[in-house]
Amino acid sequence: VSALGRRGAERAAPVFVFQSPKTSSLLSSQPAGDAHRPRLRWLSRGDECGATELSIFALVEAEELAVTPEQAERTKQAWRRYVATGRISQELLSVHTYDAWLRCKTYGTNPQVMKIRRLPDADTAALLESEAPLISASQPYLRALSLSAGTERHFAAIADGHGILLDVVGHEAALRQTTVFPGPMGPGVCLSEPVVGTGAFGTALAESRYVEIVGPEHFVCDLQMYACQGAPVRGPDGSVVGVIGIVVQRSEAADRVREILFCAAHGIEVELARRHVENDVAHVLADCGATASVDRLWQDLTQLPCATRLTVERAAHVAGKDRPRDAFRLISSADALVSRFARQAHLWREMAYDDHGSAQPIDLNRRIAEIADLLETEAAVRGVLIDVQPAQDFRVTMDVRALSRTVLRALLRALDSVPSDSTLTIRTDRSGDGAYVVFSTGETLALQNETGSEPPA
Amino acid sequence: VSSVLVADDDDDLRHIIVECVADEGYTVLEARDGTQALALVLAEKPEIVILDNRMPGLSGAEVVRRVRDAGGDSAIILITAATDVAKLAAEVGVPFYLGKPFGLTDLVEVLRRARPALQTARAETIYR
Repeated sequence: VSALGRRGAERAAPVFVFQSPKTSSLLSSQPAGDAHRPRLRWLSRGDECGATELSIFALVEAEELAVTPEQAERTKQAWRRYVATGRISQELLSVHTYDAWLRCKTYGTNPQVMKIRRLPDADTAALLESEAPLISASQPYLRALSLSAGTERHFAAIADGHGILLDVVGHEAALRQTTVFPGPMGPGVCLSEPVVGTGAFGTALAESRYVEIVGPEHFVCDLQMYACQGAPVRGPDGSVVGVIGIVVQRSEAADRVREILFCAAHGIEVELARRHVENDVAHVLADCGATASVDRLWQDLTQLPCATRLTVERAAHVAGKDRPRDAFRLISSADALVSRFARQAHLWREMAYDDHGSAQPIDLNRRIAEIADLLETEAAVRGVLIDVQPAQDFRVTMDVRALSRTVLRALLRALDSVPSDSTLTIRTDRSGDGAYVVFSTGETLALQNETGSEPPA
Repeated sequence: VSSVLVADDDDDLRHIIVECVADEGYTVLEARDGTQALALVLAEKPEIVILDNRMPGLSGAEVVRRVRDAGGDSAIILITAATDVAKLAAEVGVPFYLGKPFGLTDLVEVLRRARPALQTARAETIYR
């Protein structure tokens, strides 16, 4: 699913790019009356592929942040009024800015004084050690994000789940900025909302969504010269483990890096999931008695993250050279790669659960095709073509984990028994109380519908 | 203009590698399996081959062996997601390799190292 907000020629006329049948219902759900600040919802990839448990595809709500001069002026007016009276003028602010400022007021953040909080060196060193996996996963994407900003004065950074910077790259002068941030901008600096008010890192964490804070939308006046964007990064269990963001001085530059930032966040999530799913692959294949295949199938699964990383880096490269059309094409490709990896990782994760789940209706043919997809390269290397021949569309009611493992086990057995340069045909058919899966090797799986959540006998 | 053969059975990965390599100014050929890769190396004699190890038809290692047996001197960059990349490359007998997932910078860097290595090897052959 790709839903990337793009600013149109009028800045306030975004073009929405959706690849989902839900487009119309989403667009019709946009709040009326605020034409300059339409909101879009970034559809969950999990929504499309059924991978709802894989939280890296959690529903993201993004906001098209075309700040018109009128809106900017209203926000400035609201800020002056707040400084003078302590009252936040809801009527002058966008919904998200109002909510964020309200939080800052609750924290006791001073809008006129920029506070700096930096961890002691020993604590920073300990943090960098504990967050090493996130730091290493994000390094290529941070570089790509910085590259996409081109010659703009900027810095890009990854922060932990508390808004403390872990790694920073960017324009040398921006990193040494002393007007606003005393000392170098680097690991250990805290950019959480209670400390620095609204901003790419703190607000993205506070709201668990992509944010773009432009100029006067910053609660603290010293930051109002910047445009910043941040996107949360989720770990394999779905929790927010950090935030990647970029700070630039011209809001025009923010347009260029928005989609790269989305892709960078997902690229980091893919890399974190890739490292995690290795255990799942090993666990599932051990259970299937196919330990010898672990390394090969793990290698196959790594193809997608490799293609994702190269594609995002390439997109950033061309974006930095002002080639938006090429950049957008590559971003769309990266998006598709992320989705495909998500489906595969989700399948391995699902099969790795040992406990028996509840019975649910499953599209058997689709599930078999997905499992065959996991083994596509393995089969091709053996010179075997897997041909899934569904007789008709139907569902079986079973525990999806148990079903998937049963089919995978049978498919691995079948692959072992077919000669190279041949086709392994898989046929499905409905039976009275379930279904048959018939392999051309002669093996037949008889699947019985489960009526409840109890494990099958 | 130097020519580079990119051999990988994964379409997405091969396409993006081809795009990156072409942007570096190389003429690029593509192969989607080991058999096709071997045929192209022997027929077109590209200066550099970016070769996936795990491919249908012939493995990357087997392609290297047959190319060397046939007297092919292309500089070969082995790309693999195998755990011990360096060990595998040493076994196959190629000095250049990339472990997947690799990045754009890694790719460009290894290309820049491979080309002079090939030229040096060719110069030594002529001298002998």
